[in-house]
Amino acid sequence: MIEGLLTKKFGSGALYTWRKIKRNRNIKVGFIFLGIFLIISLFPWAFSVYDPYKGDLKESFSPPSFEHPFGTDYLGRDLLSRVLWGARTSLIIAMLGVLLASTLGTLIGTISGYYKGKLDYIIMRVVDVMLAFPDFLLALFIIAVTGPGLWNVILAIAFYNFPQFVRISRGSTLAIREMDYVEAAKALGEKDFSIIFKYILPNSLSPVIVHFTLRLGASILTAAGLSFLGLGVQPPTPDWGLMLNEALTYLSFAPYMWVFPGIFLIMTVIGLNLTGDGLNDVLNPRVRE
Amino acid sequence: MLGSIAIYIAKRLITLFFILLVLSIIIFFMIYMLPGDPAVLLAGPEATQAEIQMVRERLGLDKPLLEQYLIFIRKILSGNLGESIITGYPISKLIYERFQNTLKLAVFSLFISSILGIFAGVTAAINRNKFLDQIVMVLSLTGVSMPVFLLAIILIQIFSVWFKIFPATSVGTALEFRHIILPALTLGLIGAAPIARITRTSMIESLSQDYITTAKSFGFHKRIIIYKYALRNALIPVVTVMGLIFGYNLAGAVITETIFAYPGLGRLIVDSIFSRDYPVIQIGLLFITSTFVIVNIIVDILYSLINPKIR
Repeated sequence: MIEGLLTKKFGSGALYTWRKIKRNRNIKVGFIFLGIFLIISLFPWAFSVYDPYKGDLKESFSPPSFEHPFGTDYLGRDLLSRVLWGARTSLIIAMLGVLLASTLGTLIGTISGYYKGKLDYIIMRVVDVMLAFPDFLLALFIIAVTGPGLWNVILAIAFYNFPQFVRISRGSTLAIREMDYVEAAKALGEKDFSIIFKYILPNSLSPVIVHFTLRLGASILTAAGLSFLGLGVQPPTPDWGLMLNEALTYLSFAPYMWVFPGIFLIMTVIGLNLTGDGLNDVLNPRVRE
Repeated sequence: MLGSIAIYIAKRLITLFFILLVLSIIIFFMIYMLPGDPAVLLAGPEATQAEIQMVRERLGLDKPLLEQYLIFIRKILSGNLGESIITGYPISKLIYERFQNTLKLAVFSLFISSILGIFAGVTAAINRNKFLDQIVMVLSLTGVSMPVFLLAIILIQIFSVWFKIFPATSVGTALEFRHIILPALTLGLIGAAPIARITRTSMIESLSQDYITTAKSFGFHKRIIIYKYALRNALIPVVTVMGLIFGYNLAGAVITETIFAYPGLGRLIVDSIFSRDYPVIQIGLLFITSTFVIVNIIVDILYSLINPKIR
């Protein structure tokens, strides 16, 4: 059914890509992990009856049991609920941050690559400088200026991911603008605006999509790292990084406090990395070894 | 030939200068992006009115921005960086001491990453698509996706809580070798993953070259072929990745140092962000990012010397 629809809408090229995606083992495994992550972050209430914010102090530090499958934390809050709602926190931060970075970055990169010239030169020098700094320090710099908090973390993630998307989309635009069909559109008198949106953007998206997937994983790690340090999302928000930080204090008698948020965090990032690697194989075949 | 090398190096050095210039401008302006009076922020929470006035005059905060920036740069170049507004400790001494510790940690963990990563990568390459290869690939994927703090927690749980072999923090005691082991193992294991991946790819390519087939036909011992001929040529891209990881260990050890309370530069910056010690945040970030950028440029130049294609 999907195949028929794809062919009808996008032609046989899309069908070919879809078949390659279906055959790719990395993508298959990655999609399973991502599916689980998406389902729990969209419907966390479907899997646990407890409120992630409310605890019962009498129940604090209960090891995993039938009532609390992941145990409870130092305030007696149900860890299963907190892990599930924590997925949503990660998803919101990484999605918004990378979406902001990729939308802005792709637009600027495409325009810069399409018009070339002086503006392009200046933009690329700025991008070079931004790319010279390590991700996490750029994020720390933003947090040092804005202070901690959910929205500031999103801003920090958008800020350090942005130059990478400029670089990537500019690169593909430079190649596509020389294509015959772009020349033809120009000769037919199409406006720059419609050439960029009708021909250049759709054809330069595949490296952007691959990078988007990989950066989602990296950004989930950055966000968790910031909240682990106490510089990101603040308590009592359910967040995997915060939960791991809280667990560090009670390692000697409550190891289950880190095991479950840890497993969910790493599985999500592995899922994103596998999907990104797989998409890279399918969509950008020349980089494949 | 020599000319093109010189031109390449000159180009990289100009880039370096440009990056350092922009970096210093951004760090200088940081204090203006914060809400509040810069003089109050830089004088500290307990400063008196007179002290605030003194800071204002010493840094020229009432003068035009360009002049302030030049005063900032002169201060850095002269090495007289002022004092921490929280502890009153001289910043230049603070940075020097902390950097030594960070450097020790970076070298030790790069050593662990290289040995583990190269060994795993070679093993995977010579057993391509077999069981050992798949194990190495799964482990390295896990390593690439592993958050540093999760690995640190796992190591603390095993080595400090259960077996009580290594201490989990360096708080309250002078820094000894045993304090470095767990943070170095954390950074080292994380860094081994990308090294293993690149070694594997590069070894597979190197093993398919003609001279390897020739060496095999001469009947050389398998181990000699692998380690003497194939690995030597496969190492070029590996060395680049090692350089990048070293740069990250110097700059990006923020989380690891904080967890193990290791007295390095990264932890200094995090602590200063919490205590709003803005002079230390400024100089610390400037120092740590410059180090990272300089290490990367050196790696670029070294790589261009080994591999002329890149120029």
